Amino acid sequence: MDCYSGNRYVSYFEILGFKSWIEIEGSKQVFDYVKGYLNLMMEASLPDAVVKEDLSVEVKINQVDFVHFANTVVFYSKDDTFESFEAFIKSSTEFINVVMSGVSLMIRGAIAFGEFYVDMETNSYIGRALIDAHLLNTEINWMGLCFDKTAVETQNFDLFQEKFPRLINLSLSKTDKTNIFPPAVNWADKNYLNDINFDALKSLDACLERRSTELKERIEELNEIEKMIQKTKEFIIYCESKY
Amino acid sequence: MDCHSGNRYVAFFDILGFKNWIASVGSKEVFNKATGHLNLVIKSSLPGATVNADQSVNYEIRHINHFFFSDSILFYSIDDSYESLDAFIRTCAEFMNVMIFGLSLMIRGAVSKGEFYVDTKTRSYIGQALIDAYMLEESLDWICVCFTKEISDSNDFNLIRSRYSNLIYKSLHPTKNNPDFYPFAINYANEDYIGVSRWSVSKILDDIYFKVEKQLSLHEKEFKKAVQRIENTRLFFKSINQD
Repeated sequence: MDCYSGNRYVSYFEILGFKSWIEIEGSKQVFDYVKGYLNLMMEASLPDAVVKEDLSVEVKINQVDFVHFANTVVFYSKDDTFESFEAFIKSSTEFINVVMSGVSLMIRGAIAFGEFYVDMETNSYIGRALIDAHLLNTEINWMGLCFDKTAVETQNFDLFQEKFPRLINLSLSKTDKTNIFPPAVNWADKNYLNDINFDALKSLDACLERRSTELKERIEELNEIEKMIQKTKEFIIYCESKY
Repeated sequence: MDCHSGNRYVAFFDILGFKNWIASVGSKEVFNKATGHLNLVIKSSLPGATVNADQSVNYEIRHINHFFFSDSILFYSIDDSYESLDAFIRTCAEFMNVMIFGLSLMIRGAVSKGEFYVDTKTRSYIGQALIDAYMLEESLDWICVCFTKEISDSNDFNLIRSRYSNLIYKSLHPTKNNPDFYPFAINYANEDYIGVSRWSVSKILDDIYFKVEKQLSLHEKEFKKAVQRIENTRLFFKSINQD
């Protein structure tokens, strides 16, 4: 979906541990996985996507589209209307849910609002909103999907919270440098994602188990991951306690 | 150009100061530059490319293709043959030359060799070689394009060095993470093999300095870092009498 004018919402996702994933499983296996399953997950997260029996996906790019490069996935909305925002949040939330819960890959993301332009023919994906989302993403020390203040300050954010009052809560841990508690989506919320049937807490345990095997000789890295997973669990439990 | 098996050469380039560029001139202007000039430079660097009077580019993807995402540019070869390395080095040299002498952009790159797979339909670009190129690029502290040790130790590389005199030199500065590693770098100001440069290296580095000074007037730390990179580059070209 090309975008040549106006403001929009952008979510920037980073798959964590990508380097060690390639080191351990090999480039070819990760490549097959990405072009197969991960691509399926990205497409299936788009609004009104239909996954067929042969695992191909029927998509109509209307309000939300995505692009990915190496360990980075970016979703962006068509414009700044409430309808687009709603569709965009649904896609972003479904995506992080299915990656974390469905295949136990560690991922985190951030959502920003502002200028972001796309020209698919020249592969140009450029704008302040992408930078803001990227910067916030590097500061999040758990597997959250957090909102940058550029997104929080839009009217759509307030309207959305009125419609889904329990879905977004303040993070329980501060960002690394800016020391703020950004609002974050509870991507494990089964009331919101009612067609998804994963147990997020179990998936986080599976994530830890997987990384423990991969990183058994890198104790420091593993300790960090353990902390990230713990923080993520605490956030999900906290959000669920509000129902 | 899809790549589903074998090893190949991969070059990863990073446009330095992208965030500040957007902050100083605005997202739209950078986007227009990317879809216009930058896209033209990338395509016209490919082997056998010709630029038409209307600024469109005729090119045929045979040995090398590219991918562009935000501030990252990627070139990859069809295989790891001598012919591909030859075409690859000339492409990288040409690209650096025009980016710096033509657009006065600070850019840094690294070339690696190894497993790297591409599926253009799903936009999957994955492999150890990309990680190696990225890691080396991050560890360089000047405006350059350097080679991994694996490449510089190879016979093909040495053949190319003897074929094109004055095109490849050892860096004056070691990489940030290995004080004993002085990677080989391309002399992208060499007019014998690369498009003509209207200006001298020192004039262009002065231009870049003034541009950076303007963009980073409020960011002392980042400005100092950029100045150091410019000075390191100046020293390199002085040492090879190309200033």
